[in-house]
Amino acid sequence: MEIDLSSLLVFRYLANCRSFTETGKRWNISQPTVSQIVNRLEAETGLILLDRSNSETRLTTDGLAFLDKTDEVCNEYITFISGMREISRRIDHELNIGLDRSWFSNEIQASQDQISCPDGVKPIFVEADGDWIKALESGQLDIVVGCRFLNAGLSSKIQEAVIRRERGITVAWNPQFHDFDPNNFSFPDILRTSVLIPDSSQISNFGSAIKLWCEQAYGLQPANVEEFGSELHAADAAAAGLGILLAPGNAIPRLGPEGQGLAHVRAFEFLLPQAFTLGIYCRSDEMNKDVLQTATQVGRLCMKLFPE
Amino acid sequence: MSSDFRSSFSELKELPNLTFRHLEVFHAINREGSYTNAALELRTSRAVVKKVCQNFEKKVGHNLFSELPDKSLETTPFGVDLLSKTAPLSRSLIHLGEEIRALHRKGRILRFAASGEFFRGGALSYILNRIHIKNLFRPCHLRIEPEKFNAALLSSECDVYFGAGLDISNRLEIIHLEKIPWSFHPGEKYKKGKPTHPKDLAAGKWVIEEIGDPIASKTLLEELSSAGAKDGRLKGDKNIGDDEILLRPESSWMGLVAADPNWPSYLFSAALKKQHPYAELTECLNSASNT
Repeated sequence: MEIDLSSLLVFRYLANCRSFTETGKRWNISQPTVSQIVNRLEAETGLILLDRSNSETRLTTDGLAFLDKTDEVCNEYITFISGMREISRRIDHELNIGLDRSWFSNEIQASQDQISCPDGVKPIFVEADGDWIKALESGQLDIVVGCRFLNAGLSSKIQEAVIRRERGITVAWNPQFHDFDPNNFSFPDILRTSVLIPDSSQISNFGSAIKLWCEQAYGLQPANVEEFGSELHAADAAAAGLGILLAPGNAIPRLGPEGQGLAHVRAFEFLLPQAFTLGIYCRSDEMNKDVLQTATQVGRLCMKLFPE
Repeated sequence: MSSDFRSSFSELKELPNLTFRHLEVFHAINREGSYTNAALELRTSRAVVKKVCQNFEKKVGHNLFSELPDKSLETTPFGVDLLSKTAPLSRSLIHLGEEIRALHRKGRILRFAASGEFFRGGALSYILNRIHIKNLFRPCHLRIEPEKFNAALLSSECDVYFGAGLDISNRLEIIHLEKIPWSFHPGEKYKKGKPTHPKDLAAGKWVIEEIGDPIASKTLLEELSSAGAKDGRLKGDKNIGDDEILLRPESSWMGLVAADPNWPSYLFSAALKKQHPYAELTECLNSASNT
């Protein structure tokens, strides 16, 4: 069987979204190329997989049966390629170090020259999005420097070295637009306005935890919740009067000049003593000395950059 | 940052484009320790095995085997680690292959189509009886009018379209199956008797009825002219004069009356997509041809 396994991934996507255009965009290929791929797959299998007769693309009966088994192959293929790349990295002494989009990661990236890796080890810094825990478990990433809110997402497959813990959450606003009293602040006040928060690319689980807390404690959601790709952007929006900023731990020092002019309080310090964790993460069963030694070096840099 | 690392890949060109053959050859060489023995196991040539293996090594970016002093092949550490990762993928591919074979054994759906007149007249059943699809396919029959047949074939609404005087797009192929016999209808004042050869037709007094594409009818006029019939015309909307003779194609006579080899005729044909996924289809249709 000479089926090109990559064509199965294209076919699966097409079968699910039913659009040649969207499939082309997803895989960064032209729509005619998507057609060619499907035609070749049909020729290889001797099956007609798609009915293109209406404006909508549908699977034939044979196409549906084929898709069912193709799904399994696609998943194993992706796992295989990830595994292959992991082996390749190990042999070439390359390490994927995932950094999220938090302020801390930006500071680490700016100082990456200060990380002294073991001889021959080549660190490769990659962006770790909200799924970095899964990427770490599966071997796509070797080390992650990440921020977590409460106990979000950690499993027994991941080990954590805590760099820093901060209590509670920061609530900040522009006093010209909101008349909250910092000395007499009541958290349910946030329900009256827009809430501006960092998204999951910077801190896992924060947004969903806030929404759940509001629902459980007050029976209400905030009037509006906006997520931002960085705490600085959220602070800019708060300064412009667009809402109230919520960020885990002690966010004001992280905001620099963007934080000046914002009134702020810390909420839930007593209730959430370990609300925010900055940590270095590896797999629990990690035996590779290169990974462990590099993680130690990254930890040392973090301690230096972010003293308590 | 060097890349956006997601569990699914962002571009097709990031993927190594592996096939089952790569894995099969990889396993065989690992088991047998040489290209030659692996080729024997796989019933292919040493050159093919070596080529597939080297192609695989290029795609994965590392050597999988190294040559020992006794010329046998030893799996490299990379190869050993990779081997352990191939099992689930190989298994899923075997399941996929089994499913494909099962779908073939069940009989793939084959959609024949034609316009209504060929269903009514019996022409279609005559032709279908000659096409031996055995257990390869499960046929079904659709009625599609001639003006839509090109689009229907190209969009896979049907697999084979039967008709007369078909003009096909360049992405289709056509197989001529049978000549359509003529019936002759002289007017009351037509001077000549029943023609047995195109030369017998009175010049300027013969008319052919159109079926299918206008191009097919014009071509047939020219063929009849080349065969000796002079100055004929297409019927169009005009009436037949008392002194004229009408030639009418009788598709329902196929199989009942042998088409006369002296007479250029309309052809009853099958059209299908070039390189149709059902590779056996062209051969089946060709074997049913009487032209």
